[in-house]
Amino acid sequence: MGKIKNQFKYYFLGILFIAALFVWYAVFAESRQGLEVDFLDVGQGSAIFIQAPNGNQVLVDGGPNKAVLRQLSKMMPFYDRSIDMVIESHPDSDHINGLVEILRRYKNDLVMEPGVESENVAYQELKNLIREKNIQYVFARRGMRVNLDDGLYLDILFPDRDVSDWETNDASIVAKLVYADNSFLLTGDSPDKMEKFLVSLDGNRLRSNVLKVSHHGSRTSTSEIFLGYVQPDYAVISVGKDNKYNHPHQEILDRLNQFGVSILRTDEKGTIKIKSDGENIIVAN
Amino acid sequence: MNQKIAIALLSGFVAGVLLRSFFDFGWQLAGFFVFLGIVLAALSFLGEQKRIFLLIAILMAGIALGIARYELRDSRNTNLLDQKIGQRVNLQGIIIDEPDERENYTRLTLETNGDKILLYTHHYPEFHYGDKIRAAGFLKKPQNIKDSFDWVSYFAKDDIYYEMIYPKIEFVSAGNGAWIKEKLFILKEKFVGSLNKVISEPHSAFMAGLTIGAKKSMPQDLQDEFKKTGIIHVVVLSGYNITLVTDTIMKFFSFLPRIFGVSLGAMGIILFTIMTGASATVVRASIMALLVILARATGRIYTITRALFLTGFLMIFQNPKILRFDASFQLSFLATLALLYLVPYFKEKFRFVPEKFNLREIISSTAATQIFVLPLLLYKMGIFSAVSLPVNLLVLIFVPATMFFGFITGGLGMIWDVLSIPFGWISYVFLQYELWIAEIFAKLPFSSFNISQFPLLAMLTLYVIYGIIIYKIRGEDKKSI
Repeated sequence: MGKIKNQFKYYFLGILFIAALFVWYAVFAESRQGLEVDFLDVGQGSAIFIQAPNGNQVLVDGGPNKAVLRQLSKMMPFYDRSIDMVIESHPDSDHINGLVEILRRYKNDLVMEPGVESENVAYQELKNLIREKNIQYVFARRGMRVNLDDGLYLDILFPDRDVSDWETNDASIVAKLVYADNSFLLTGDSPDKMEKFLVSLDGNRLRSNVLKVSHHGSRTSTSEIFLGYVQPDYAVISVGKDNKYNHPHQEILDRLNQFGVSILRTDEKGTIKIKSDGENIIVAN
Repeated sequence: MNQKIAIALLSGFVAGVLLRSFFDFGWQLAGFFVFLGIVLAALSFLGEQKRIFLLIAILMAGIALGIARYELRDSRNTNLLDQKIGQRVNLQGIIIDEPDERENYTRLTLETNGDKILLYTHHYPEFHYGDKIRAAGFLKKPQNIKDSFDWVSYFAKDDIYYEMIYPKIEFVSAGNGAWIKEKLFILKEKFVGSLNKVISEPHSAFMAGLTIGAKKSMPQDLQDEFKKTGIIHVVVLSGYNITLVTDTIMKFFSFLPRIFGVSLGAMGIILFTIMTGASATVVRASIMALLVILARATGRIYTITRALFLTGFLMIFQNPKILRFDASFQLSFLATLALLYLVPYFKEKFRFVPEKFNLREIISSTAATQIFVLPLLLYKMGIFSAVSLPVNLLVLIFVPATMFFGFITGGLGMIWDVLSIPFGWISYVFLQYELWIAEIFAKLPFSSFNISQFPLLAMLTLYVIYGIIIYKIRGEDKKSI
């Protein structure tokens, strides 16, 4: 017992030291400047993590498996076990299967989805979890605006109606993330007919600095007219190495080059971190 | 003399099993060895060196028995399913093992009318041990992709001869397994779930591997890192890993009289075995770990080493296929042998190392086991890790503490997750350190070498050399006393 008493001051010092380290870690982790959008390297699939300057977090899709968990923990401080909002762009397995573990392990306040019926079992599992954990749950509809921070908001462009019996890709949520002068267009797996529909609705308002290329660079999306209206500086393609679909298709890469867009691919660069201060876009890697 | 006969018979048996696992000549080969044995036995009555001949005759008999035992195990009644290979089948059965969740698929073991079928399926819906399901799809035999791991034999050791790739699965009913096993798997799932809630990935997967050997969710790149640095054994259920658990428990209760520590350690092993599902592999490893505890408690190293050999023989007798195809059995056996037999000697040599923080113990057991399992690892994995020793030392010192906090985190989390948060953070610090060590050492150039096609003969030769060295050392020890 005497031994413990003697050593007590050292233990106490040690605990203080660790506490100080922790405080500095937290200060460092919580001091953000501007907006950060991370296109996570989840293989063949898609997962986008949005961090607002005030600490609000949104995850758009969760990729095909648990890989999203590892990528996310690289982006978040270790003690952070909540993600404020989760968006399912559409219920296909390469976009939502990873979300099941996200909902199990993290605290979430709001889940948004297009409301299209799907036989994907993970989609049913997500519904069960949402009910079980009593998470607020909404269908995304055109005209909705999610305020994330001062001057930072997410506008829903599509769906503009009930899409419950639609084909899942067609029903994909299309949303525009706006931070002062900068913007990001997030497209899910939306095909070119939906792109054309959006062009007819929004026209020049589609213009964005960063375009998340729809459907992993498949030739079924990213039409010329859509590219012409969006006029992105950067195009992010979320795609797995040597995937069986041969995504991204060469003609889409050619088309992007033709429009003078810088292409960022997750199979080449891993997770793609893009930062914005509201005026300038910086690709961090 | 009696002892020599026993040794001849048992080693003959093991040699016979090994021989048969490589060359399938059927019953005739066993007959041939019986014939040789009879001839030699006859000679022993005629010749002058009766004893030698008799021993060799017994050795031959052992080989014949080994071959026969293997033959018996291998011969199955060809049944209805064999005729349905390549056809669409509709089977109903029960999931008899914990689902094995991999990165992109889940593997289920389905038993139907005594046949075991491996089902490859999607992660969702999730099935559980004891579920009755209907599976419709094409029936196949497992196949080896050329040059890769010998999956066919690996599955055959567990009597799995069929597989179905992404069949259509229909859930029928739950709760058809053993009641106790079902409850334990649920407990295990809860434990891992509560780790996952407070510790982020991949740290939580690593912790699950450390505490209850649930390596399933460890990402492949992390597993590769662990292999490169020679510490994969801490997350694979083997005798070594289980001995570590026990050691932790025993040390924690070291303030009590020794008998408490030992019995708690033994109880720990048994609980751990049950909690991990008590698969044959784990049971084997646990029995060997118990022997180590027993040796520490009694100090009767020689007797217990003999017990280990006998145990090994009985296990091979029970399922002869493990001798060649179960890496866990092989590793457990060799590591246990090293822990029992070599560690005391290494401890003498490492006198200059301070006893503080258990350093000398860790260094000697790491060095002994690493050196002893090296030839097997070279043969099995084809990776030689040059940094294994330093990495093991740097990691193993903190493994007991990590496990301790892991058990507290998971345990408290099952009651109320808020309670487990501070312990989760402490665990995180340890886990981060261990992952960091593995990462930087794996990145070093020349941290590991791939030695493809390390021949079986080279491995056996190395073990013979080891045997000779140990024999010599023991001889010297005897002289010095």
